[in-house]
Amino acid sequence: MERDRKQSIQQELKKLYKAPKPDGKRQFMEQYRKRREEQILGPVNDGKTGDARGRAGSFDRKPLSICHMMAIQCTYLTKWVWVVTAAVLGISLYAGARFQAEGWWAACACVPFLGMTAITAAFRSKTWDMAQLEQASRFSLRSIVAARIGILGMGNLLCLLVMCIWMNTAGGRQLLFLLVPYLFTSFGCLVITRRITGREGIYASAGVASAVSCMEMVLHGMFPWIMEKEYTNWWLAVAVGMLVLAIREWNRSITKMEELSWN
Amino acid sequence: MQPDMEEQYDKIYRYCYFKLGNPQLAEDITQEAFLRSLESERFRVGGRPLAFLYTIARNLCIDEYRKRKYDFLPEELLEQKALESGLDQEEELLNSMELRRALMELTSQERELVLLRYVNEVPVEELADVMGVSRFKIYRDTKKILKKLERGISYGTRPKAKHTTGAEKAL
Repeated sequence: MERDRKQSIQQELKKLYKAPKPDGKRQFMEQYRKRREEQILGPVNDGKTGDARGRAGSFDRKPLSICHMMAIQCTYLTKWVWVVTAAVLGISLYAGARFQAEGWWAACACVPFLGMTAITAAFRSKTWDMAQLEQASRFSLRSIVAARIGILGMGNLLCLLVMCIWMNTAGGRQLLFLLVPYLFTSFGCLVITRRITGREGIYASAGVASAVSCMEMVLHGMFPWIMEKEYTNWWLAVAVGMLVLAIREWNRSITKMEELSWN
Repeated sequence: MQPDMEEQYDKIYRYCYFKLGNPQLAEDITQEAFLRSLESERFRVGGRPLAFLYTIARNLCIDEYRKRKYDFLPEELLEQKALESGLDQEEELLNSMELRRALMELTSQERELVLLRYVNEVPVEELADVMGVSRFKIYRDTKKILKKLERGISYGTRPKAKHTTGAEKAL
């Protein structure tokens, strides 16, 4: 009854709000359609066949460049990623300025949290069981994850370089001291996100980051000599080892996504 | 999903026309809104294209309104429409007059909502985007407006208009 009344009022309103016929509609729509097609698919005489134009037009989408896609993905990163990154960078820079060489260990202790944030943010959809949904979107899940990890990885590397430049106390070795806990945490978090989904996965990743952070502090307190110059090669070996492990784990995660896509 | 542009052209034109009361100007603004939306990446890549289109049209109308000091939804325009809309039957004409009166009692924002929601049938989500309010507010407001209109036209209470035949008239 109420619905009928609503429909009846709607009909009356439509009659009442009747505008005069637009004069230039047909002409404008022709031009508009042409312009829109050009904008989506490029100029008409761009060498594409009619069939290709037709097929592309049916999707109504212009292919995006990698940079543009990364810029879009940037907007999907949660504010916590930026907050944690800024906090880690801020604490490290402050500690470096305040405690000189001692502050260096504060930076090393904070770095694992950067790694944890990067991995959990990149695999967010998988963590929350939203991978299938993301796969149904415009880009494949792999390209989305790769774009996110690319953004976060570059951002984190930039942070590490800034820290190194700021606390220039041990030459180039500083980067190794920072990279080892970072890669170690990244490897651990990759293993966890591949195996555990949901909130538990994030807690476990936070646990790994905290453990690595504590380990850094303990190592500094108990074995300060490992920072000596003669152990640089060891650090380098550990860093390379961790990098290999992290890449291997990354590949396994991506392969798993391919299986998901195939299914 | 991209909306049907031909259909949207008419609807946006109607919206502009009832905002400004000038068919030529309304058409100019409609075309300008379409062209501007085309230039924007947001229109093509994602988001809500319809809401975006309406927002552009609305802003253009507001600019024009500020420039020329129009009276939003002029009373004469609705009155004229009520008479011109091809309502040959007496009851329909009366209904329409009552509805027009009920519409005049609404605020300009409420009338805009009526036009967008009930005449142009803009989905609630898109409408919320255009008006810059939540969906719940749109639901509440449209319900309130509908009640006001119902009260105004008092459906069912007025006796049906009697149609007279030619023979009766002669008598």
